[in-house]
Amino acid sequence: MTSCPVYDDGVLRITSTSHPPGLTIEGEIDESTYPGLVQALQASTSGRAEIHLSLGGVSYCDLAGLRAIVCATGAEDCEASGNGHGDSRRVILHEVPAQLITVLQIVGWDSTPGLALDPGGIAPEPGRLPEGDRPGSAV
Amino acid sequence: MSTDGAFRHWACVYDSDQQFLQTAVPFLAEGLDAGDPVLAVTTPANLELISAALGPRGGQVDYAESAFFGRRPPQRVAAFYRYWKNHASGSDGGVRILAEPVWAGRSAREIAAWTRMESALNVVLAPASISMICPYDTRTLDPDVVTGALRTHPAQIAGSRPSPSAGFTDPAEFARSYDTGPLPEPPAGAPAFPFDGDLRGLRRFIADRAASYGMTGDRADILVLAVSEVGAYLKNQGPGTAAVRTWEQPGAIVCDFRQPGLSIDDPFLGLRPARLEPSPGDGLWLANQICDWLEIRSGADGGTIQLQVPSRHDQEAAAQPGFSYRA
Repeated sequence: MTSCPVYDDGVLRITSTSHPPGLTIEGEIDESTYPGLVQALQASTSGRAEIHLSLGGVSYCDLAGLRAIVCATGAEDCEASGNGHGDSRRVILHEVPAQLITVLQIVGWDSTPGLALDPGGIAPEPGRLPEGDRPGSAV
Repeated sequence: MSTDGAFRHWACVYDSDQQFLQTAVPFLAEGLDAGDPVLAVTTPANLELISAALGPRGGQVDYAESAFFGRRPPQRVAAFYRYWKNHASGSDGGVRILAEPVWAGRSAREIAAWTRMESALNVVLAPASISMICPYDTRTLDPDVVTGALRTHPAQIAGSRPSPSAGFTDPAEFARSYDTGPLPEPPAGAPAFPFDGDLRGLRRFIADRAASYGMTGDRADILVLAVSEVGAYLKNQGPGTAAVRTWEQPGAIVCDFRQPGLSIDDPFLGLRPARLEPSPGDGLWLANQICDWLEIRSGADGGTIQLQVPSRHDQEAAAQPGFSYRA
């Protein structure tokens, strides 16, 4: 039920959500806000097997920022980027802006092991059931 | 990832259907025999020839018409890389690709870009286990294009017999010899933005410019993304101020960055496919994927990066519903 701000510099705002565990990310991701994003991702992924990232409010995201998001999966190839966190997990992206989906496909990161795009594009909501327990397949 | 420099690249110069088949068929069939992924990217006429020659086995060959497998050279490179990455089995799995570029109807500028790509493949695909034969049809090609092929491929192949290309030119040297002409100067009075590292300010500027050119939706977003990635690259090169100017020309919106004192000496910048492992120039690679042109010059007076995207008058997207960028 709880959500609390973990980063806000006026350009990028990140809020952590507990049900489901993850982050709601809003604003612009570029070089200046990248450190805040990486810090929030590291804190959020630590010790978790699955996290949900709500991206509906992302108005701009550069390639480096997208890489950081994809590397929250801990995919093997991410280690060298310093974003690997040493373990792997499922990362479910919600409300992904169309342009980010296009970029994910161009760069081929959409098939990164552990990464899933919520086909319904539904933002994580407080109290939402875990993936496996959701009634029906509401799309 | 395999980094054993396994990329192999032959030109096949042919002057008849029979000569084409004498090289193409054994190359593809050996790949099928070995259980390797095999891709034929060529003209519709040559695809039919291959299909008839291979018989039922031809059904196992992945194929594409050249014109639809990478619209421009950076996208072509990415398409080859993606095929290898998605189809090679294991870290050292190899794939075979027959890759015949389209030359007919191209402008001199495009022919230079495609020739340069043929050369650059030797470097930017070096980590990929790809065996590639590029057929060149002397019945239809300008002799200069065929001469170019012998400069851009380290070896030729006829039938199953490879031989070194005597004219092969070091790809870095080749690239530098091709990128020496000056880029068009911005027209007098072109709106300008002094970019000193403020990426948000740069995005505002270019978004406003896009709106003034009547660009909306994906078209505008793509321009903003490409310009911002170029800005991020320049920012990472160190302090300095680039003059950013935009203008419209028939069929295109151009954005030009000029930065005194900037030196760019990587002739393959923007062509190496981006990976999860970060590398300088990844952002320029993305810009190159989504723009019609991305040209880089470096000289005594500094560095210039000029990109070009389709204007609102472009109708290709309208002809292909569902495609938001020109692949």
